Amino acid sequence: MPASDRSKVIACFREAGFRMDKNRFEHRLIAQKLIYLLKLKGVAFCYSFHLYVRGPYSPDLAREYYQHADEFSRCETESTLSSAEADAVAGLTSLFDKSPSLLEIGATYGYLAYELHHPPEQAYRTVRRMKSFYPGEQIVKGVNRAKQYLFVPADEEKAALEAELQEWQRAGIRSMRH
Amino acid sequence: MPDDLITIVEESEDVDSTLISRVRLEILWALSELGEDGATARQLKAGLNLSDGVLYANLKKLVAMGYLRSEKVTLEGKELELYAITPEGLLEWRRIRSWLCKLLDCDDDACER
Repeated sequence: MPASDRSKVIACFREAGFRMDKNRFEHRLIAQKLIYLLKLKGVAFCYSFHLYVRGPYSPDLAREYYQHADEFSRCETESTLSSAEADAVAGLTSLFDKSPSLLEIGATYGYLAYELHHPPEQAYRTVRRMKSFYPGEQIVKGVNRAKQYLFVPADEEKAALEAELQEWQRAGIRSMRH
Repeated sequence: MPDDLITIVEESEDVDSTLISRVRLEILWALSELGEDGATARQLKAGLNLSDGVLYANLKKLVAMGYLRSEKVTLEGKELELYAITPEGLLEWRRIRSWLCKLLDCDDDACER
């Protein structure tokens, strides 16, 4: 029997307020992209994703929601998420608002830029070509949200940010003295 | 010339030669792992870089041959045409892939995604 993280997937959907109906195309798209982006963010899932014409997609995850449709539609599980996992779900839902198009664009960009490590400009051009049926503004929005969600600052960027924040903090303290 | 000349010739008789076209093979390949979820016509068009005319002519033919099924779906208020491979289509795709692998002398397993 193949490995399953079904309970964890359902726990993520419950956290996101997403009750999945496998008969709805939109829901199947949202399910795939939510789990893929969470996986890219570091939430562990056993499903492997590859790039298809739909964007990143896992046949094993699809098997779960077809074979256990009732569990997904009830959205009930004993499984609980760690606080880091719950934060990852909250960040994702606040940025993408379960929008199928933004998720499709964002997940495709994420696969190209963060999994295949294509340079950002090249990844953006590929998304524009592969998702050319979406308006340009929607593509920019989806790519920017993916960057915002997945960006992890390098050590030197963190140090530069820290130095700048300290400068602002010192200026704030100085202004309070006057 | 590989040793399996006889096998290749024999198996070629089982292959549906109307599928030996770049576009039809690409469509079957693209849909072969997407199962019931399938893909919309616009995803196939943009993902495979095909023109409307070429895409729809081949989709129509593959549906008529029983290798694909189509249904209407809705995404963000838009009605779209979704295409998915049928069990017959999947069987035929696997047969063709296996035959091509023999023809090209490659390892069938290595051709898995």
